[in-house]
Amino acid sequence: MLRLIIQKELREIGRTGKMGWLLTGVAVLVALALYNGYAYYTDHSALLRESQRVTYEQFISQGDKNPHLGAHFGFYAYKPTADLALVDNGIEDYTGTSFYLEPHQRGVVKFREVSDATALRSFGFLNISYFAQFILPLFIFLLSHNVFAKEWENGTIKMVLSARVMARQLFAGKLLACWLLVLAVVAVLSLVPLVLLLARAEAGSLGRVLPAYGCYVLGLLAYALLLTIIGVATSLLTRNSSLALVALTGFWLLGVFLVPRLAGELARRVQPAITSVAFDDETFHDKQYGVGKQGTKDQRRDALADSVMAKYGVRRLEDLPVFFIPITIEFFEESDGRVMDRAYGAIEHNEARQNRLVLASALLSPFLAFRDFSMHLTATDMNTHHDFTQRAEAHRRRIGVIVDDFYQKNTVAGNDFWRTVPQFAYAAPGLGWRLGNAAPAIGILLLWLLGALGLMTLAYRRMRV
Amino acid sequence: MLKAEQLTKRFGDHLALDHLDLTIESGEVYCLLGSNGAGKSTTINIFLGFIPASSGRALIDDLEVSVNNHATRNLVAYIPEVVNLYPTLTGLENLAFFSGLAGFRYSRAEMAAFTDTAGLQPEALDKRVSSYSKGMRQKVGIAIALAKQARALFLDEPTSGLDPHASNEFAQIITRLSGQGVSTLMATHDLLMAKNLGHRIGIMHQGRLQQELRSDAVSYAELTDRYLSTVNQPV
Repeated sequence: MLRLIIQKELREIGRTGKMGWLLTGVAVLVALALYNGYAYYTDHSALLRESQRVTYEQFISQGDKNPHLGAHFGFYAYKPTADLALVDNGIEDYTGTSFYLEPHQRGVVKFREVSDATALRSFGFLNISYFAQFILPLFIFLLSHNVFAKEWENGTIKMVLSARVMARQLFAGKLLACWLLVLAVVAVLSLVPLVLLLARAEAGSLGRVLPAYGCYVLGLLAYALLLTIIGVATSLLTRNSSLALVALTGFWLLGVFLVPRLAGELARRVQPAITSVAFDDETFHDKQYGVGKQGTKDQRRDALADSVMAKYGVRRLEDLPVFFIPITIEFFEESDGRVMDRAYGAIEHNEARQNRLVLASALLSPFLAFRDFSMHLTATDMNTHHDFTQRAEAHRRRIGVIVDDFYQKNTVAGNDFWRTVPQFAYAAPGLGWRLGNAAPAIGILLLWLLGALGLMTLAYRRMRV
Repeated sequence: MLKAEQLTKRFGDHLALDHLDLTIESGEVYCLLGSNGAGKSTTINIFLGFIPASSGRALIDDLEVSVNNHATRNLVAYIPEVVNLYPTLTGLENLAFFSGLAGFRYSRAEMAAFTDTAGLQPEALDKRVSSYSKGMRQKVGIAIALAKQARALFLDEPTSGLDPHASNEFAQIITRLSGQGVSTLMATHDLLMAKNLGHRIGIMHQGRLQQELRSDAVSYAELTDRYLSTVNQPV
């Protein structure tokens, strides 16, 4: 019975002229999304890898210099393009990719792609994730809005229900017919990137990429299924294709455009961001007096001198067996580091609260929940960005310690020393961490799925002539 | 056999069907006459299980419709005033689908035999239904009824809008099915069709079965008089 209904539905859909145009449009957009995502991934990953190599090569071959001055020559820590950025580039365009590693100054992530982009970028970047979040729902709703309504509009429902078919069989058959078409689109969206990932992945990285990608595809399937159920159930509840289309596109417009903007605005008002002026003012003050108000820089420098002289059993700095300046530099690196950690921690805390507010609005918009899920699984989210900046900062401090330790005993550093400074390498954390970050979004998607199943039950129980 | 026992249907305060008692034997064609809103279609809709009765029982071959709706659907075929089919499918595909829903799978030759019996031209079989006339759709509807091997046939204004030739063909098929033991309940405004096709005729007014006649015991003129006197009764 199910096969009969599915075959009939697919035959009808296939013979509807507008569906042919719709499928052609979808095929073109899928192809564009795949091309864009792949081009973004390959271009960026190659560029960043090369930039990382070149700046490091320049650093370790800078020749004989004062160690501290040489350290100021610095090099960049580049955030490598996420393995799954060909699927979703998340917030990477907005957060930047490079962090300058030099003494005294915590790096600020630079080179935001969006700053060089034209105004066209405000429409978004068409890749697989963009397609899945914004275009796929519209395709599903256009496909499913009349799947039941046409039975009432054509008057065929009486003929159908006078046969021995049961309401749940009819619902399941129509749902499965729509789902098969949606599944075909999702299969292309999922399998082509998989082939590209397998072709491009470096040795050893597949173990990290494939489980995350598998979970992403599972999430995409659940998201597409819940939207298909909503589309079919709405068609049955309204029994009118125009009304169903208005209801579904209204839901799409609200969920895709209105709710995210309102949620963002609300988050900004409820939890205002710390301004750069306030940030600079506070960190400048704390750097002068330390996190625990330990006194002015001069007072702390004097106290440090006393403790170092006591440690080495001398009365004058000139009598120390090591240079005092690098010890001072290292001391204030640590002190300033605590100040900056606290200040950036406050920013991250504020951002996290803003993000929680925005994510809560996903209870009104499954599109938002999937966007959050997608960014976490592809490691193009804010959590990964913070993880990168923390690791880059830790690397910067590690270099500071290496250079200052060397500087205590040497006034000139050559390439032999510079080559001992380690290169920076970053890989986003694995599946467990990503799923942990995505847990709230997964919970909301599951709630939406349950809601869709409830709507489905309500709809098919009301199936009457 | 079809049986209505004190069958009543209310829509809010409106009494659409008022304690209808009716028995239609196997092979009998029963025509329900009455003006719009008399309760003819409501009776058919209750027998088909489309709407529940407020009280009373509708039985098809001794199975109560409200209790055995799934089972009784196996026994019935329904041909409305306009046979609504899927316009993008061909006549043959519509026939295959609806007979499939009833649990029957036929070869192309078997389905062609049904449409041939229903009077549909063979060259129309593979054309989309969107190009069909009303009469051609009606014939597909009959073919579906034949394919479903129905024990009971419900016809709601089936000849409305058909030309005399098509109406005559339709009547011949119903007569043939009657000979095969199919019980038929037909709601119609066509008094001549009722006189010629029905074994018995019921005249309904305001939800009540006001008169019941044997068609061979009444002339067309007398039927017309009785019909008009019934439907012109004051409210």
